[in-house]
This record gives sequence, C-alpha cells and structure tokens, in this order.
Amino acid sequence: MASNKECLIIVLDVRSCAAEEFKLKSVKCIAEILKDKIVCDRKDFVSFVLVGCEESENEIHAEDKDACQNVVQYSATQVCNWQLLLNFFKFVNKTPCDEGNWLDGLQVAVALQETAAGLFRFTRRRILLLYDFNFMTQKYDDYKTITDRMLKDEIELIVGTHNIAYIDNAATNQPQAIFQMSRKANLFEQENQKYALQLVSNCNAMLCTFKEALATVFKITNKRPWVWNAKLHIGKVIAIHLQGIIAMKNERHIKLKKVWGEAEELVDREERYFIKGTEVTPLPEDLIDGYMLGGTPVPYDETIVERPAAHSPGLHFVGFVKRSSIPDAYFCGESLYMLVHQKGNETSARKLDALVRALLQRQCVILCWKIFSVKFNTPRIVVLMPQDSTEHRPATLYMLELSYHAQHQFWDFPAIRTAKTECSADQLQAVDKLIDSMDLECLLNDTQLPRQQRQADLLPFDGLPSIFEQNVMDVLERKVVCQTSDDGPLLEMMREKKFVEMYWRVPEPIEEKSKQAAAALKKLFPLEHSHAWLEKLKAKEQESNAPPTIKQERPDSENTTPITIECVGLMTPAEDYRQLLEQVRSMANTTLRDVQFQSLAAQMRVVVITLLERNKLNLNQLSEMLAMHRDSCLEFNSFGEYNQFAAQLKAKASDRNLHEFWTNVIVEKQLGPLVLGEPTLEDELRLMAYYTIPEFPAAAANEDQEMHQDK
Amino acid sequence: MSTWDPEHDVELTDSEDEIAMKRDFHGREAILFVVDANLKTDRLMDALKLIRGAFISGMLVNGKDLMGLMFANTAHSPPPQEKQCLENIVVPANCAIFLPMRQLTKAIVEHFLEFMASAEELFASEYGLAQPDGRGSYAYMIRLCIELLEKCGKKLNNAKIVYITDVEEPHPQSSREFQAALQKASDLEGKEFEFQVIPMIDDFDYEPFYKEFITLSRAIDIDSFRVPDAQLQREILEDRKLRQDFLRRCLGHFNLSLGPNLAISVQFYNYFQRRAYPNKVHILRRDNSVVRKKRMIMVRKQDEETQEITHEYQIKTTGGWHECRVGDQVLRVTTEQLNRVRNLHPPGMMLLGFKHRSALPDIHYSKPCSFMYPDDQNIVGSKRLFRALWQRCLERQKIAICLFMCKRKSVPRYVALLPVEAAQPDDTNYRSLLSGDGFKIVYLPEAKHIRNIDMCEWNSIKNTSSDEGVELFQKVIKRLSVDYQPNFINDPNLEVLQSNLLALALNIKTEQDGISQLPDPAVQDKRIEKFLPLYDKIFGPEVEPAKKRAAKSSASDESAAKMPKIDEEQLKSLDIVKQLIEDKRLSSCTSEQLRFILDQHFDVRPAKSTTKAVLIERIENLSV
Repeated sequence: MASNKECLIIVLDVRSCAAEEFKLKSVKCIAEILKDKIVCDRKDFVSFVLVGCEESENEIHAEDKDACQNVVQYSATQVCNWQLLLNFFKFVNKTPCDEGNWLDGLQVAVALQETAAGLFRFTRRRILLLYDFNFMTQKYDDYKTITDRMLKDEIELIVGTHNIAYIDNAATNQPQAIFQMSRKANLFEQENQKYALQLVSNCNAMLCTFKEALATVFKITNKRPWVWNAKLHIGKVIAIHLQGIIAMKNERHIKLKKVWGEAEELVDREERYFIKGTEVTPLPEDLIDGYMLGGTPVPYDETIVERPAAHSPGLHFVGFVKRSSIPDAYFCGESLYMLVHQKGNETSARKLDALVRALLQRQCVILCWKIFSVKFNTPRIVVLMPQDSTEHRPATLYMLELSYHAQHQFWDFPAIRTAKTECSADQLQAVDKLIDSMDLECLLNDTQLPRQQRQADLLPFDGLPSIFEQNVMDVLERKVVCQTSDDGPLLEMMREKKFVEMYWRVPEPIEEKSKQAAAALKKLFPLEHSHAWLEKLKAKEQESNAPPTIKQERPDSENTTPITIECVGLMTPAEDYRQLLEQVRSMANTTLRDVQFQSLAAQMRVVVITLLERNKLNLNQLSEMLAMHRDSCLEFNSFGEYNQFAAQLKAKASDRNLHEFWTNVIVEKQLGPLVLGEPTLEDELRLMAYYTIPEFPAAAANEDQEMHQDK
Repeated sequence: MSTWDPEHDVELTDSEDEIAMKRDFHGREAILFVVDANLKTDRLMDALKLIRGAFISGMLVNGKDLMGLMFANTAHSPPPQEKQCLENIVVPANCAIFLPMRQLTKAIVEHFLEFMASAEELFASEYGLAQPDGRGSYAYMIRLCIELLEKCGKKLNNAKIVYITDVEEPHPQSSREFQAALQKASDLEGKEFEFQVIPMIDDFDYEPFYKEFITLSRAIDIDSFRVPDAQLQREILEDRKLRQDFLRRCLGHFNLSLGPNLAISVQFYNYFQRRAYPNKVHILRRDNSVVRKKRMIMVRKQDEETQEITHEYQIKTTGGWHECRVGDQVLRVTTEQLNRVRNLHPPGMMLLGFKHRSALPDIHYSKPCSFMYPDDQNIVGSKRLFRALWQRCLERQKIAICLFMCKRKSVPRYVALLPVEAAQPDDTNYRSLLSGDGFKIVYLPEAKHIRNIDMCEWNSIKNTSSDEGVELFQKVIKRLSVDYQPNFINDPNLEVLQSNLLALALNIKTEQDGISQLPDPAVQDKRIEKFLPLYDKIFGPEVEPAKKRAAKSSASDESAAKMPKIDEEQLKSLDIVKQLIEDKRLSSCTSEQLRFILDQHFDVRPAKSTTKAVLIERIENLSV
C-alpha cells in the first residue's frame, strides 16, 4: 500500500501585538491537530515556526544574520506524540516582541519542508499559517518569490485567521473568503489583508476561519486509495473491469494500545472446552464440528458433507431492477463502495459510461451477487446504483449490500392519522413556525450578508464531527497534561460537562428563534409525564440492578464482616437493620435513598442466608429479621427483589431440610412473596403453592433431557 | 492461538453501539400455536403444514426459541406425549395440548411429523369438534394459553399466541362469552403477550370479533387497526416471521427534545435483524455431547530464575487497559474511564434544525437505518405532536436533523429524520410490510467517515462512450429486467447448510435446484444474444493496462520487490544501527532489515505479523 504521509509545518503568530483571543484560539487549533494525529496513530510529520519572538533561531537566519529575524523554528520535524504536544505548549511561550514578518515565517517553513523532503517521501506537503493580519507594517519584497516557490514545489498553503467571513462570489456562486472589519482599518492593515487575499490567486491558498482551517487540515484527499479489483459479468460475454474504492465507512479512528498484563507478565490467549459448565480437555480427534438444530446437535464436517465448490470472485449479474423498487431501509453493512473502471482501461471506462448512462435513463439499478475473493467466498447480494460522470470523476456505480429476506422484520404499526391525534389549524401552524424558525439553510440563503461558515448551511452533511472521538481526545489530553493515572482530574473535567454540552445545542444563529417557536408549540400541545410509566421503569431498573448487588455483598459478609454500624452484622442483625433503615428513610434525595435501600436490603438478605446456614437456627431472630425486611420491601416498593428472595428461601429450606423454620416462621407468619394491590385468583394460587411444604424434589434440571428419555 | 498478538490489538471500537442492534438476550422468544378444530380437513392440513414450516425454519434460524402447539374447540382432550407437563396446568374443556412450550429438538419435530401423517384420518376421532356448534369458551382457551406461557419454566422476552382459524365470530356479540373473551384480551395486554390471528380464508372479516379483540390486546385505538392481508400473513408465518406488535419489540424508548422543556416520547426499531447462522458447536465424538469452546486470556507471572509460574489469573476480553506514552512515562487508560467518557452524554434525541428533503444526497450511507414511532405511554400527548410534526414534514418535504444517543454507553450520532408513510391497504407485496407511518432514522456519516478521493488518475476524455453504446445498453437493460422480490433472495451458503442439516437430522430432502447456484450466465447470454455482435463491434476487445510491477510467483519473498534504501552489510555493525536510531532514520529500513537488526543485535524475534512501526518502537526501546 502506498504510504500516505504528509509533512505539515505550522507557522504561528506570537507577536505581542496580535490579538489575545487570536493567540488562544490558534494554540487550541494546533492542539486539536496534534491530538487527532496522535490518537488516530497517523505517521505524519509536524513542526512549528513561531513569528514574533525576541530571539531569532532558524536555518535561514543562521546563514544570514539579517534574514528572517524574530522567527524561531522548532528543533525537529517529527511524528506526533504526546510529548510533542507538551513540548509545543512550552515552545509557544517564548518571549514575544512586536516585530516579525509572516513572509519570513513562510520562508522558514518552506525551508523546513525542503529539509524534511530530503529524508522521507511525503505524498502531501502543507503549511498552515495562523496569523493576525493587523496594523503592523510588514515587508513584502519577497512576496512573489515565496509564493511562486510554493506553487512550484506543490506545497499547499492554508491560512487561518480570526476575522474572516464568507460571501458567495457573484460570478461563480462559490463561497469566497473576505476580511470582516469592525472599524475603519488603517492603511497598513488594509495592505496586509490585500496581500493575504492575494495568496488565494497566487498560490491556491485556502483563506479561512479557525474552524474551517481545522476542517481543511483534517480533510485529506487521497489520490491512490486502496482498491478492490473485480469484474462485473453480465452473461458470459459482457464483462467490465472495475475497481472498488471505499467512499464512506462507519469506523472508529481512535487507536490506543491495549495491554492485558504488567510488563513482566506473560499474556496468552487460550481455548478451553466445557461440557455443561464443567471444563474438559478433549483430544482434538475426539471433537467433531457441528451445528445446533434447535436443541439437537448435528455433527457436520467435511467427512460427512461435501463442501460446495468455491464461487469465482467478482460481481455476478442477477438482473436490472427499477430503482424505486429497492427500499433504502434494506441497505446493510458498514461501508459504501464506489465502483469505477480499472485505472487506464479505456474500453472498460467506455462500457461503464454507457452502462451508467443507460441505467440513469431507464431509472434502473443492477442487482448482483458480490463474491469478494476466493478466501472470503460468501456471496452477498448487492445493488449497484449509477452515478453520472462529473467534471471531477468518471461515471461510477455505488455498491450497497442488501439484507436478506430472512432478516427482515415485519412490524404492525397502527396508523398515525386517527381521530385521537387530529390537530387543529393553530397547532399545525405552530409546527410550521417551528420548522421555519429552525431552518438550517434558508436563513443563510436569503441574505447577502457575510457569514461565518463557508457553506450556506449551519450543519453541512460533509462536516459532522466525531463526537465520541473528540471526547476521548479531550480526556486523554487532560490526562497527559496532568500526567496522572488516577481519576481525580478526570472526574473534575467530566463534571464540567462543557465539552459535552456544546454538541447538544441548536446552532447559535437560530437558537433564539427556535426557543420562541418551541415555547409557542408547548402551549398548544398538552404533554404530561405518565406516572404509571415512571413506576414501571423504576421497577424494571430495580429488577435488573438487584441481583449483582447481592453477589457483590456476599463474599465479604460470609465470614468476617467488620461489625460496625455501617452494615448489618451477624450478632444483632435486626437491630442493625432497624437503625440503618431509619438512616435511609431520612435521606432527602429519593434516587439516592432507593439505591441505599437496595444495598441495605441486599446486605440483610445475605445475613439471613448466612444465618440459615448455621446448624442451630435462632427462629425468633430469623422471624423478626424477615418480618422487618418484608415490611421494608413493601415500603420501598421492592417487590421483585423480595419475591426473588422468597424463592431463594424456599430453595434453601428444602435444600437443608428446614421443616421447623418453614412452618413456624414462613408459613405461620406469612412471610412469603408480596402481592401488588388486590390479589387476583392467580396470585392466590401462586401464594398457596409457595406456602406448601417443600418436598425436596430433585431439581428439574434439564427438561430437554427428560424429553429425550421419554421418547 | 499463535496469530494473536496483544501489541497489535490496538483498535478501539464502539462495540456497545453494535450491541444495541443485537437482539435482546434477556429471555427467550416463544410462539404458541393454537389451531381451531373447526377447520375442515383440507384447511386443517394446510394449517399443520404452516406449522411444520414454522417449526423447521424456527429450528434452523432461532434454535433457542420455545414453541408450543394446542388445539381449540375440540370435543376431547387427549394428553400430550409428555404427560407430566400437565401437572400444574388445568386443561379446560374443549382444549387439547399437543406440545407444551419447548425448545424444539429432533425428537419433537419427528413426533409432530408422525402426527401430521396420520392427522387426516385420526384427527376427527381423537380430538373431534366441540358439541353442539364447535364453540368452546374463547376465554378459557386464552386462559390456558396464558398458563402455558407463564409456566414454561423459562424467562420469556417476547411471547406470541398465534391462533389459526376460519371462524370470524367465535361468540355472538351480545353473549356473555363475548364479554369474557374481551376481558381476556386485556389480560393479554397486561401480561405483554402478543396475539395474532391467522385466517385460513382470504376474505376474512375482522369486524364481528377480532378487530376489537386485537386492538384491546395491544392497547391501540380501534380506528388505527389495519386489516392485514390473509394470504401474506400465512406466507410469512411459514417463515416463522409474524408481523410483530410494535409495542413489545422496540430497540429502545427515548425522548425527542424539540426545545427547552418540550420533549415527546418515542421508540425506535430496526428494519432487519443481524444475519443469523445456525449455532456452530463442537461435539464429542463418543456420546454426541455438546462441547462449548471459550477463548480466554490468561496472564501469568513467571519467576525469572526458576522459570516457574508463580501466579496465574484469567481476564476478560473487556479487561486490561489502554496505554499512552508520554516520553518515558506510560499512562494507563482503563476501560472504565473510557466507559465514563461514553456515559457523559445523556441518552435521547435532540432536534437541531430542519432542511429540505433534497439536501440529503441520494446515497449517503454508513449504517443501516432505523424507524421511529411515537410512544404515548411515557409522555401522554406525544402521539399528537408527533403526528403534527410528521404530517407537516411530509407535506412540506422537510427533514429534521437531530443528535441521537440511542442508549447509555453508546456514541452520539447525527441523524436525519425522514417522514415515511405506510403502504396503501391494497398494496400486498412484501414492500408493504416494510413499516408504517413514522420517521425513518438515517444515520449521517461523520466527516471522518467520508473518504475524499481525487479521481484525477481515472479521469480522461476517452472515458465517454458513444451514444450508440448507451443505446445498446438500454436494450440490454430492457431484455434483462426483473422484478425485485426480496422473498426469493436468500443467502445461498446458508441455504445449502440448512438443507444439509435437515437432511442429516430429519431426513428431509430439500429441492437442490436453485439453491447454492448463482444465476446461470448462459441463460442471460441467450436473452441478449442478438445484441452481442454489436457489443463487440462498439467497444472492441479489452486492453488491460500494463502492470507496473510484474507479479511475482507466490513462493518468492514478499519484500523482495522493495528496494532497500540502506545497505544490508552496514546493518551488521551496531554503531551504524545506533547512528540510525539517533537520527531517527530507522523507518528507511525495510521491515525485513528491522527484523534482522532485532535478531542480530538485540536477540529478539518478533511475530511475523508485527508492523514496521512496532518494530521500530521496539528497537528504539531496546537501544536505550
């Protein structure tokens, strides 16, 4: 695979006259670039050049003491790592001054590119210039030489600054960057900005805001992507040589090294075999591969069934179908392939062009079987969708996998348009108002005013951030800066929530209007939280949370629980429980109170079970404990847990043959399962079954096996 | 396994998010079939055939599901083969249990097939029809169903009762039994058991009884009931794929926030399940017992002097930690900490704005879509606001852009909500089953998911075909057009496997034609025969572009093609290697050379799969 390395030199304005806000933003911007390259494990090379330092320290200055003054270059051009980020934070704090020419900075950056290119081959060479084009005078003698040099050497230039806005160019209708002025600019400022703007035409520079600059740095165009070579066969005669390129893929770019043991420990992955939970060590020849058919294992390997011959790789045509007959909802897989003709094969290019145009005219797509390779031989049904050629690319087919019929779900959704959901004209109008006031496109289209975004869209589809990755990067950065493995600073950061909340908000320009529209909507549509639902949710949560708590508690209270008043002890459990329960009851926060109760109840249950395991039972104590526990479960609405516990009690009683305990405590005091509300007939039957004396039946272990024996 | 190398295991996936798409494993699915004894012999046999199909496909696709079978409105109640299963179940009059809720096994299916073979003659005498009018109590029948499901001994996640009949009105509307039956419908609702009726006649009238019964059992408005197509219902039942009740099987509930303090409750669904293959197992040759294979990661501490293992423990695949290196220091990032990062975001969906439908490109894909439907249970009144929003979006061709976090520990994603409408009632193809009224959730790819490809090396003015060529392909398209019928497209490898399994276990032979076969190109050629000469004339023969590098025979060394930049001889000197390390020029060595360095100077032989970057890192670490 061709290497896809780039060399990025960042030129940064640190002059004391540059706006403070500008400096903060530019350091943040660079930190983002470095973090991304570190976390995604990119092998790109990076270095920095500071413009506006008291000292001068760079290659050009070293040779000619008059050239490139007040410019400092970083000591190395290297792959990004966390140390580099920390070094950069130090490096940027060199003593600043007011002097410093951005052209000098560029010149040093070009020289650095030159040196780096001597050592490695890069597919891309880029310079990012972050500069405040303010009122300070600048020298422009070498302007033409430097821009020509960059153009000749194919070095891309990205210029980022803080006072950029965009308008649509009247002639081309393309977005164009301009300087936004809050006040009358002085002569020097105007000149500086003029030269900056001319960079666009002189050496194809991108002039952008910080946000766009970041996006531009991250946007990497690939000239030689990985390709999947395949032939599309239609019948035997028609064959087109194609190359599949991944156009979109749902993937995580974060790469972190995973470690399983300490440095001196040996880590191994092993395979172990189990029969019904018991580990066995069969010899390889004892085992045969097979499949489960319902509950029956069926041996299945080459000795029993002949493997079908492998399919030949490529795309095997099934038929042309109407585009409209393929529902998008059936697309599956995590990636989108673009099929283009084999590079340099003009015959296939013309065939594909003809096929794509014909498909578009007839509004058809191709259904075919994709066989990836001899090794990955499972056929997949795919649909090929035509894309006409444009200025930038030839005719292509998009390839998407379809799910199979056996996977499809058929739901029975009741119609939404019913009498009960009928809306009045006012209500519909309020909804329209919401739609209009939250329009992400129109606001920007309507006016000719300069805007902050390159595209006339507040949330362009090709620029959506990877939120999770960004969060991980932020957290790691904080961790690295604090140089610590413990959670303290992290927790603090997570509590701030700032870097989370920024995503959960409506884009600023429409925020105010949308709030008003939503408020109007709220007045017209009565909405009410259902109490029953909340209750159900709570019950479910408790049910799913309870069992693990018991498991956690059990081991420590089994033998030597430290008897403090912080937990239920074995000596005076009932009294301990009563006291702790009082404490729980007095808590104000209901969620916390419930959680506390759950943990207390779990402790209590463990203690009861522990006591039941003693040879001589203290029945009075047990009955007092159980009664108190049962009442508290009733009070805290913890039916599920108690009923589960009751079943456990019964099992224990029958296991250990605790006749006396069962009749004198459970049955006599009626300490069985709790019933919600008025007991129905079924509830009563259930209770009756519970209170019957357990007959110590052999556990009905495996029904399947019994069935077998029957037959 | 020797190929596994923890140093390589560096990828971090958002697996939690994938789990959301997986099926819920908190309990089993169950289907209880109830066959009405009123069905006349032909229809009865058809019903039994349907059930056979459902049994077999159920066994093949979801082997863990529980299935049961009983008969309603019979005269007699012969016990099932497994008699003791009735111990704590009371069978009311006019009902007969054939099979209590069980995971299917070879024996059960064989028993059913035997019964089927004799049913035509013996059903009338063994089971008979309830006297005098074939109407047993519907309420008792439902009670028995509930009992069977509740006492099946397994935790159920999704239980369905499938009633196969041709009687439109089991009890007259005014009767007491009618009311009792409706009461049972509410019981079903409360117990979250789903009820389906499969009519064995095509023009089945739901009005007299079933419309009310079904809407009650699902707690939906009676006017939102859609009459299903009987024929289609039967077809999909045979595949054991019923139309599912929307209430029970959603992937999750969440709130859609439309503004400050304004949220409606909704639920979301997937359009299809994960691809399911039969469960692969290992079987002990001796007694056919199932052996489960588990992969585990063992960590051992070795005593340096004696080489003895002093300490050994097992860790889960989710255990361990991630490392990041800052200079000499190594920082640990635990899985918990990463999970905490996931948990930062609140689950739910938030409206960010609207765009016109045309703003969404035709093909913009990174993940399968989901479907969203209102939920009036949590926030009462959600359905009306949802409808208003949906209706206006539909009429004005708008899409909503939202940020969506489907559940805790997942990752937030940007989505577009596309309003979609249910198919018209007269539409009876498979597409009509796709979904109902609601929003389709389209997951938008993040900027990093979109690859920017510069196609300049493919671009050429010679790529454009003549109009003749386009015309030719138009004709070809016309000749080779087919209808997309999703129900005929199945995974060929899976079909072969399934038919083999059935043949091995139950001796059921499947027609071998048509499966495992990709379409025959000769047939396709025949249909476009007359265009082929023209095709050759227009496009001419393929000229493959010259390959840049001659393909090597497979035996030769892979790295031979790469020209080393550094002389092999020099690497034998440790000083030169050290110089390289200092100058950070190791990357100009080939990985073969790096291995050589490791072997020669550091006595380390890394795994074959180790990447160059790791090799360099190791050399650098070792040289310090």
